[in-house]
Amino acid sequence: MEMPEKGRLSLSQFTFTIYKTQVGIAVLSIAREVGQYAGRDSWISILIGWLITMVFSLLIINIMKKHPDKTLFDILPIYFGKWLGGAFTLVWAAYGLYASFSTFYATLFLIQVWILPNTPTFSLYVLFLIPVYMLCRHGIIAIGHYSDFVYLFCSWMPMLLLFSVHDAHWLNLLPIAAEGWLPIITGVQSTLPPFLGFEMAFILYPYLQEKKKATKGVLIASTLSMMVYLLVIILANIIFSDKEIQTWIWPTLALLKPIQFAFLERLEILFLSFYTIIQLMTVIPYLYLALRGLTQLTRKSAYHPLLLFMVAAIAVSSLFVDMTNERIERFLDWLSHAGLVMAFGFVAFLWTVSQLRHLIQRRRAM
Amino acid sequence: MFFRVGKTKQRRQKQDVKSIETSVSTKLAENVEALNQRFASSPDLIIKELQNSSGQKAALVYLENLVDKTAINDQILRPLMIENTAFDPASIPIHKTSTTRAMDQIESSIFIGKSVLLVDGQPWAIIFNTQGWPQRSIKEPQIESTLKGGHQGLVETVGLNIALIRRYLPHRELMLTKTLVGERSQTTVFLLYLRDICQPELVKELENRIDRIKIDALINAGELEEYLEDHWFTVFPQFMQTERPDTIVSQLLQGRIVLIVDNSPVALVGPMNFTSFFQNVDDYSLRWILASFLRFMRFFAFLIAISLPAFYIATISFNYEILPIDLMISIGMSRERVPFPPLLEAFIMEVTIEMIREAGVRLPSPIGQTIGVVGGIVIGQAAVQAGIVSNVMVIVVALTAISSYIIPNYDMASAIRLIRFPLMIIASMFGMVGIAIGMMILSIHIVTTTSLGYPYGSPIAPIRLPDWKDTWYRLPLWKMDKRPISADPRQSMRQGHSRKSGKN
Repeated sequence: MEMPEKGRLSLSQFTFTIYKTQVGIAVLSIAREVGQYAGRDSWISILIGWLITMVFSLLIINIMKKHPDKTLFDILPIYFGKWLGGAFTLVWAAYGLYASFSTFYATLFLIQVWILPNTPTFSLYVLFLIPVYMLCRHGIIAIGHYSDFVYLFCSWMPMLLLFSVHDAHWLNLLPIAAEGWLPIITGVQSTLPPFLGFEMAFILYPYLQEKKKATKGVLIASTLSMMVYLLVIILANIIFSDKEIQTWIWPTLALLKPIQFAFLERLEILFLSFYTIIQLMTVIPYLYLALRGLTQLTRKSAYHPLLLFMVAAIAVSSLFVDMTNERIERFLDWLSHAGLVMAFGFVAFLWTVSQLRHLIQRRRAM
Repeated sequence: MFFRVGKTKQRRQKQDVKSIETSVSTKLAENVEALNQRFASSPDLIIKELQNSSGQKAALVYLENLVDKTAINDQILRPLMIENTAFDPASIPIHKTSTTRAMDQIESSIFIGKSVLLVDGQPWAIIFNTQGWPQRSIKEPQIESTLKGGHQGLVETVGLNIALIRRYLPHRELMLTKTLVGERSQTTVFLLYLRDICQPELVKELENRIDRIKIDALINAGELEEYLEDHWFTVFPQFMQTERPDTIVSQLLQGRIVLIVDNSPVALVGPMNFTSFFQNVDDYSLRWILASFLRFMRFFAFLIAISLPAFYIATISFNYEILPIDLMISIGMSRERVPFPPLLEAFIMEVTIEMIREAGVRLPSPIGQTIGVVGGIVIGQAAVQAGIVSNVMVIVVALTAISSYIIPNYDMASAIRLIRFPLMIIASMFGMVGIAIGMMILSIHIVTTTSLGYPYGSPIAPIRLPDWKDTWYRLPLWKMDKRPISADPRQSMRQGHSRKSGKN
């Protein structure tokens, strides 16, 4: 089965796909992770992280602008030749696979710990893999369309957090930068991994209908993510003290827990169940990225068999890997490091190469 | 396989006939003999021999029950036999006549109700359009009744249906293309579209798909749908089936294509999207605020109809902690005597109500009501008192059933009724998480479905904001100056920029 890649993505699909890839499991723990460095000034760190992300997303668009109808995997061989380009493609595919696998494991782990402790792991894996397979099978245009849908139908979720405001202590935020700027700056490094996902622009750009709006798209996507993170961090800081935040593994769920309605208690169970949709929307684009890289190395018709193989691999792996919190933390930690290298380091490197190449070409032309 | 056999047999028969006679001979007796052979001397084939004053012989041939007998008597036989008019197409007062030399054409003309005059000594025959067959009068469609819209529905005669539509749209851009489908039935299928609005590629695509159909007989428009649709494995209708000429016209104006099948009072409209099944003609004649409220209610009802039993099962058997303790206690009390697990309890009731519904559909309405009373009240009440199901379950079932009837389109409502069963099963296995993933699977399915190549999820996913004016809510008509873009119309403006009110 070939990838049905007819059609184009609109600006909203481009933006929301990136946004949905960025926002995922990190929302639940970001208050703790940034807080352990920056304390009550975490919100400043997230703003700085946001600015850095925007710079790097602009670099990506700058690279892609020179090759309007090529994806990352088409560009790599042009820049680095067949072998080195192929190697880089493989590295990117591995990164995509790692990102999708580890976020999938983390999602499943969270669900098992919080909601379904007695359900067999394997059946849960199979259940979650059905939508992953269904959407990946239809390729990037379907992913884009679906991101539109997820954005519309999950936009109530951040709003739900606002119900926790009623016992807030705004003064918690107040002495700004009480301990100097160093903790804030060190906190920035842990704000960057949650923004990972903007590298999807590498794949999405050639499908974008109006290329001029790509800049706008990546900026809006990062800004939307920043707003969600900022909301979570500020809420966590005004409701808990910065020491208390560290005691929760997932401070965001702790925020939701006290919210009650006349007809509903334990809101976070409902929230977390539907939050899996957003989490899977991180898994799916990364899996697509990886498969796209792998099909580049083999041939186009390999897409569907590879997808089936990967899905089966995840399902089978549940039988052998026993998930613990430490292990998941380690997976996500590695993912952060890999993400920093690939999405920030590699992008800077690729941009330098493309600028140099551009300069040389221009000089030759003169 | 079966079909192939039929086809070869038919071809063989045709060859036999061909060896007898292909063109009209100059001798009347030979022609009559040939026709008798072709029709195997069928008892309803009438061969009326005539002779005019100059002694020239002729024969009028037709099938007894397919012709308008008044026309035959007054317009053909009377001039020929009494007024001694010449055997000549120009002098016979029938609105449409033609001549032919081919025997095959004569045969097919007789089959569709025309009458044929064979004249001795002439190598051609005259064909008169004298069709007239038993026909139902125009009635209000039963499953699509409206409060304020027109009360005329399509009938089984394609010509009359086209007349009904042309009355709404007397415009030269309304195009009609005629094709024949079915080797045996030779059913006429008309493709209707507005040439300046509809995409030509879409028309071509649909024409190609119709050409590819090779079937024995086409009996209903619904059968045609299965041969034309993009996806076979889905519960959602990819074409809209409607009996209402006003619905057809409003869809035509949005750039969609309408298929009208002879002998079927249902027209197919395509390409459709998911949300257009939530619209209704009445929406446009109600106050827009009320219509918007109804739209909201329908989408809400859709959610209830697919997920309420699933939520019930999930909260009872898995995630009981999400309910407040008071509510939990009252549900628990009503379930106290119920011996079944929630899934089984829900299945019993849901299946029962589906059976009551199906039983009532084809019964005459007085008995249908009895079924409703017996099924709904007696079984419901008795089941609760016997302790088989809980009161809450009865409420859930009743709410779901009512919600599913709010969806205005019959096919969509049936699809929705079916979706809740898989959701119930998944909820009983995984609780709330199962419902979330089930919803995700459902939405992915809708988003990746296409109808004639157009995204079925439009205008929700892909987001098409201009179309939202007529999707979630209905804005005043003067706000909708542009046609919806979901069906990709060529001409985007549908009206001039209108004023807010009729006042100057």
